[in-house]
Amino acid sequence: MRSDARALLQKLNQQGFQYQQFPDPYADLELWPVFEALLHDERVVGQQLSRVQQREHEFQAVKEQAAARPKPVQTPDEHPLEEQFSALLATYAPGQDPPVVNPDTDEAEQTGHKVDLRTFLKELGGARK
Amino acid sequence: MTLILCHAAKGGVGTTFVAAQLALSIAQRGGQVTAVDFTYQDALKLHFGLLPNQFAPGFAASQSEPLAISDVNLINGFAEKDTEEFLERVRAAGLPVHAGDIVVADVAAADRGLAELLYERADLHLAPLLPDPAALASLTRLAGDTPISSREKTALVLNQLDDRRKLSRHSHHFVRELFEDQLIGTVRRDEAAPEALAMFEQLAKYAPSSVVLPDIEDLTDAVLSRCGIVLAQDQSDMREAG
Repeated sequence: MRSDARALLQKLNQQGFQYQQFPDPYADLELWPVFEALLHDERVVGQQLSRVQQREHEFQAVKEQAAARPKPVQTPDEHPLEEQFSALLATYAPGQDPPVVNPDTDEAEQTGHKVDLRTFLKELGGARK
Repeated sequence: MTLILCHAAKGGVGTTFVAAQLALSIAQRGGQVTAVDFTYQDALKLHFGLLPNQFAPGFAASQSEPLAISDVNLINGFAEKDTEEFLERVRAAGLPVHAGDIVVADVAAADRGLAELLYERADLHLAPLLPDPAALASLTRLAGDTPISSREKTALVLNQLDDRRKLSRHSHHFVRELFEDQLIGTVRRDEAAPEALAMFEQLAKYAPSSVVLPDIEDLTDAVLSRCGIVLAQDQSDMREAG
């Protein structure tokens, strides 16, 4: 018995009484329009996302996390990539200035992409001519 | 200092009542409590048994002449709350009270500026609510454009619950389902609460068997737990139980 019910019984000098708990099953819960309005109000529960929107948000978050990570170091500091390329290309074109790879102007370097093999071979072929 | 901000989006939902009962309950457990009334109505003191023509001191006066009732240090902060000196003090170092105090601040619904200022400093924002449409609709105004569900410090208390009324029952279920653990307490409706005020008596003295009191005890447990406070009396109770 609830403590407040026991206290009331003592106050009334009674041994017992008919007690009703009023347990409303959720099935009985009416969707009053005021409830519905609150459910759809972003100031109460925030933005409600559909499953697809939720997945898009998760995907976007993963992408942003990946972008925020520091770029992997591709070459040791003592041998920067441009020096390695220049040295390599110089061996195929003696007497010519080797093409210099500048990370400030190189689009691939700026975007964080690795220099791909096709670009490298194209430059290599041009230097041999 | 632990600051419990009591502020609702709508007036008349029992914010002052909840603040007073919470302060009394914490003090009864041995907490060092200061209750601050920031409202124009000056009604907090009535819950402590004071008369309308009896006044609690302001922050400055309470340093030299404090007023403690039932071990709760009462302060009326209304006169000082808008002064630049007070606002700067709060921004810089919080409310001007003793460092170890648990402060229960009663802020009027319309005083959103002060509520937001104190929210920054608060450990818990307690927002009382009634199970009626106007009070429920006011939830949309509680935190400006920020969703209530994302305000980590905000907790709701459903006040004046009456299971005999259908809308009250449904509102209780709805709020519980919607906010889950953010609803940290419910207080049942009892005519003894306004009757005690009419008698200028504290509720616990006027109606010791009121259903409100065990509800306030449960609410106090939840509030202290949320604030990470373990009082000496609670510790001894735990030792006895163990």
